[in-house]
Amino acid sequence: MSELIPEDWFEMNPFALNQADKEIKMRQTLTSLHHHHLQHCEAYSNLFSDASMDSLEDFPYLAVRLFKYLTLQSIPQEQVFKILYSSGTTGQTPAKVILDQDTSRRQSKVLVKVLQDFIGKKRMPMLIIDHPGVLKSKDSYSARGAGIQGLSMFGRQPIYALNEDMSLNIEVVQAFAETHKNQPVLLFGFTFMVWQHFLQSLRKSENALNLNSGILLHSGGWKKLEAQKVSNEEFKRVCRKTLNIEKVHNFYGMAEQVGSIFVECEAGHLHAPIYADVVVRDPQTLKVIDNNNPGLLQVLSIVPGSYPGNSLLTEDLGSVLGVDDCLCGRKGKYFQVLGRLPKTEVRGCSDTQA
Amino acid sequence: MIHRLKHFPEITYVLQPSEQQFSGKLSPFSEEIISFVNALSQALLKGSDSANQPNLVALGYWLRKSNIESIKSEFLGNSAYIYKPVGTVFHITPANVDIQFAYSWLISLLMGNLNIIRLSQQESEERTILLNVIGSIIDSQAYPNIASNNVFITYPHNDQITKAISLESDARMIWGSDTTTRAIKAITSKVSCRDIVFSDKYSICLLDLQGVSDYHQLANGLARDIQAFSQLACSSPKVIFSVGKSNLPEDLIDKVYRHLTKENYSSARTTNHLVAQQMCAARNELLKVVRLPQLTVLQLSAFSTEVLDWHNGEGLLYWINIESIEQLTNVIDEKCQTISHFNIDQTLLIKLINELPINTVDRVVPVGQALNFSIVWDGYDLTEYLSRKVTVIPGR
Repeated sequence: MSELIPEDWFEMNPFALNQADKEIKMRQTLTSLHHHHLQHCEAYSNLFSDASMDSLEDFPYLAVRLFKYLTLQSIPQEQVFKILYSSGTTGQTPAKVILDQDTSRRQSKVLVKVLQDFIGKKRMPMLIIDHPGVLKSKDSYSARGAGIQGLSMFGRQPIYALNEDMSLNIEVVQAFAETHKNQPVLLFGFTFMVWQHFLQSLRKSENALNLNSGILLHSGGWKKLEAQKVSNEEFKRVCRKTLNIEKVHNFYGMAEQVGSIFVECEAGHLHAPIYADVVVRDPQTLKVIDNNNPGLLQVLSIVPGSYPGNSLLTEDLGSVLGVDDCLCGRKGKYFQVLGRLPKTEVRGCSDTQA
Repeated sequence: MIHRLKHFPEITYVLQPSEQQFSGKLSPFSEEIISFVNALSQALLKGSDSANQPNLVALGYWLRKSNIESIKSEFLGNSAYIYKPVGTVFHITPANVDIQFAYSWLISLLMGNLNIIRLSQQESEERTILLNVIGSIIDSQAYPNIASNNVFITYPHNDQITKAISLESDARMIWGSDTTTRAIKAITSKVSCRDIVFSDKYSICLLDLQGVSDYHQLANGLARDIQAFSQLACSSPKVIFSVGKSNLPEDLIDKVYRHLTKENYSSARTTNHLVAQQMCAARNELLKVVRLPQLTVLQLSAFSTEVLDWHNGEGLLYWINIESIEQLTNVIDEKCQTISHFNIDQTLLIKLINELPINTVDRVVPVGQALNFSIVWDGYDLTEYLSRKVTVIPGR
């Protein structure tokens, strides 16, 4: 399997290649992966054929929702190393993602490479905006637990900011801020929880923290915050005011495509690293549309090998903002996410609760 | 009852409620009711706003005098009983078929009941027009008992409110998904309350194209059945079974598509259809795809009810060729509500119904009439369920 995805991918700087060179390299690897899945995943071979792909946009994509209904894998059962489940909203079927050791290892490598580009190599004291119980489940990895576990590698002595009932553990948080005064620290949590259970709780209790050398990473989507009309700017403003933190990085990714991590840069743009890319399509026709126009995001990645998740059509809306010329200096495409497709799943004779 | 609702600030009145208490002075098909329903029918058929809304015109047509008279005479017919309303009816109505509440309410109104109608929180143009029409007739003050006996409300999901109303209700009309219905049934109600439940169902269409040369009528009817409520109503066919022909008749599909009027489908439509298509392909059941701007047809090698799980309406048909009608008896389950049919002999249809499992299929109607409402729905005769028979045995 490893020869499918050459190791030299992971020795390069994740943002050094310009888009043209990156696409040539990605296309080679994605073509091998396409053939690999055609041979080893029956469902995939029922869906797609052995056509040649001249550009990244030509790669066939799976609708991301298929992972909710099907177990898609390109490896024999004995090579299954772990199974990832998307968190999903209550009552919805979670997506199921099958990982082997190689894919899992590549996922970690890519995560390290990409995040180090934003937060540096030094491991910092870490505050996790969640409660410690979230990791307790052993066999099944929830996306929330997996996310926290993955990010914990970047910190030292992780401390949890919340209690089991999602209330703020103010003593622990204040002690953390006091101990690491004026030192670089790392904070991580899911966007909505950071907002609702951390920032809002601090605001309500009229507590402010001084974490002036801290970095806050957060992810998980804006759906709930959108409903509360909280923009990214507002989120950052409250972070500055309540935590005295300037460095706030949102990132975009999904359980269904491990290794795809798109981090917001200093200029406020999400960046595609060399291992991954985004294509924006018209929601009605699914044709590729021009930069700066909103549409459906298709995500591509060379990381998954154990399951056919290299090219996925998401249900998220976004637009490509530019290529190779972001003010932050990173090469490749940069983009923004604009929320989810409204009303993607309607049920039968419908919901009187709606 | 109306006063008690005031304890809940979450409740919004969709129509301004009357200051009067429930009067309880109406009886089945009483003059005031018939006159009100007639006025509503006229307003819907002739109003400048509603005339452009096919679903509202259909409602107005269903309420026409002759239809109401025939329901009345069939109901009162040669009965030896005296009919009385059942009492207070609580209507919990669905979101996706936005004017369904009106049918639920009007049948109950015809029976003289007091009504509390809970509308979904999702507004729509069609529904707003309808509510305005109802509101203006009620405001005319010509129908004092109707004004005081009907309350139109909406509230966010709230078991406390649902319970408070349920405890005062003699019947509940529960329209909704299985999950919602189950949740509502679990809420305590008045001990004598009768629940009339309309849970998740699906509908199919059965065609025999052999010997049919002109597709005009069929295409027109199919388009009508698919188009209404973006194909989200239980009665809209999602699956077409075609007897005895092995090719997908693309000329028919093209004609259906031409009969569909342009509609603003949701932005998720294409993705939803793609999910259905890819699911069928991944399971190696997809034979052919026809993708037109308003219509997607997926021809499948076999039918299983699972394919309905990823059907989200908006012009998607599964097409399955079958050798004989008998094949249906093995694939249809208890959730099948309506079979619409074209060019199928009546004796074969009756034979099919008799051979199907005892608890499936509630209606068998010609193509084009799948959405036509009837007082018998999901196997209930609603006039019976929403009234009480009073026995009066004369003595001396």
